[in-house]
Amino acid sequence: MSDMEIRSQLRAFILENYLFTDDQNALSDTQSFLKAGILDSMGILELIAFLEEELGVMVAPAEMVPENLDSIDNLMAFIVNRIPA
Amino acid sequence: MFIPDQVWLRCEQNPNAVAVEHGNSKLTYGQLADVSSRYASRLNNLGLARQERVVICLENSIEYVVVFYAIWRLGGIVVPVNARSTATELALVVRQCSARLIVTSPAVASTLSKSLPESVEVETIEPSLDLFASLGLTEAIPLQQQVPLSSDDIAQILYTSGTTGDPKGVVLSHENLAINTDDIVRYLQLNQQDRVLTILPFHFSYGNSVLHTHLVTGGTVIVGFQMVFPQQVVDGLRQTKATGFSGVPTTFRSLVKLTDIAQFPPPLRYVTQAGGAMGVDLTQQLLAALDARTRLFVMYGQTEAAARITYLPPEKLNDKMGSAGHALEHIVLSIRDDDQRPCATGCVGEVYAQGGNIMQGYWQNPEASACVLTKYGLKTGDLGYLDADGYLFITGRKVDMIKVAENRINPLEIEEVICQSDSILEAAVIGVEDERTGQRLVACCVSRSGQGDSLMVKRHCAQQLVGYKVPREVVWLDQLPKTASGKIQRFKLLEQLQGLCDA
Repeated sequence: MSDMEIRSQLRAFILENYLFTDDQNALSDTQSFLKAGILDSMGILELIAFLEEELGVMVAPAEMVPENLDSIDNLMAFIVNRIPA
Repeated sequence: MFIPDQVWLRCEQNPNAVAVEHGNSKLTYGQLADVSSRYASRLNNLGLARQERVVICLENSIEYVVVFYAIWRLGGIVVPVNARSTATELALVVRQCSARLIVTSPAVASTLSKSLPESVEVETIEPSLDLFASLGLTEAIPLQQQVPLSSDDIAQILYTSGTTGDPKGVVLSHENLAINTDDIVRYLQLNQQDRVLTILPFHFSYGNSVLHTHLVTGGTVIVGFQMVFPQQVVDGLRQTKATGFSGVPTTFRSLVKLTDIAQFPPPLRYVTQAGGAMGVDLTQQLLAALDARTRLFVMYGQTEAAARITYLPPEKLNDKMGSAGHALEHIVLSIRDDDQRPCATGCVGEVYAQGGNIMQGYWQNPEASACVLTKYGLKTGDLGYLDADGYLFITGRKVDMIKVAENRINPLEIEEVICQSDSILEAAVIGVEDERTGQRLVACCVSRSGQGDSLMVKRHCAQQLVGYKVPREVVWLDQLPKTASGKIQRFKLLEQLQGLCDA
């Protein structure tokens, strides 16, 4: 999967499940999910399940921090080299 | 003594002790008395009178606590609401309790202007490092005295999803809160050295109780942590040297599964669990993960009971695994059948709780109050039995409420919102079992045109309702199963959905 495909999968997951739209303009890649009220404690669990089940990226407890998970850009930086081939 | 009097006494006795801690910011008891009496004076100047309602719509923060106790200093009634409420939800509460004032963040205030009655004043607070500046207190003179309170004075109104339609305001008197708080403080053996880290929102009955029980004992309440990042909460427990922690089953599921708590258990004195039944498996996993010296209290209650009804003493946890515990000191429990006749030991019936902590009623809703306040006390709507030792075991719920994580949700409220859309003929919202959150919301909709737009349904709900009330899934059906009298059969819907998933 190319970086662009991964990014678009992540965006689609957030847009459909938390912003309830397919309008790409509704989410910028730098937007903090927390500050914008997009994700709460249940949402973050679903996001982690998505990373693990759909993309095969396992997330260790110590990695569940905003620097890794709290925007599309942060997510990309965190997972891009970890997706199994 | 009522809670505010007890807290003011702590402020006098121990002004340098820390009452609330948020990151590097600390509010001592001395500052709590000073700043909240100044804020009370500000509210007084705005004309707030005894027993008038003030809605607080703020995240857990030092400011929240200051504003709360300022309202009590004036004899006002505090109406705390979810800081994430939508403008529609907030306006509904403001109207329902005829609030005089709403205290909220500038961001929320900017969404509100159109939907509020003109008589309501809006005070905004932007939490900042300078507490005086954020509260607008630079020149306020402290209101020296607590307005005298009497036992039937109303202390607060907590809004909860009712069993029919609109949300209901649970009216708690100062006496209700004092009695329940006193019981809880005693069984948790709270003291001045206790430092509780709370992730529970203060507008929620459980979080409200955690706040006041620790302030009346002169302990410290630590805020600013969220379960969104569970490992940060565990790190926070260690860094802040917390002695106590409170959570709901989903909190503990996250802690056990997603953090290193089991490898490095923080040295907590006590952990409390309420907000829904926690399965035996999870309880055992949690016990195994906690430090051997940590006392785990399983508790049961309702907003209508000021918070707590029963607790399970930690030393009985293994012996009575699965039980919600025995009645608090000032509560009499009974199990009754549909005709309110007492059930025998071990027989399942509805749980009733009688005591000085039971609410005064639902705000301006005598019909709804009469349904649950009986001569045997509060009719909880929960089903269960008492064993021979008087320990309560909850087996289910009598009414169609859905519980997603710690949130009690009335499906009717969501159905009404969905049906506002012209394209929807009818809708039923049900709770489907979910390993992460206990239940998750599924909206079963019938479209007028035969074609449904699921995202549209969710988007519409998200505009009107707080996040946890937005259905996670939308399924489209040709019709909803109904009884001869036209009532939706929710259990049949659940079976149908099960069939769809298995197929």
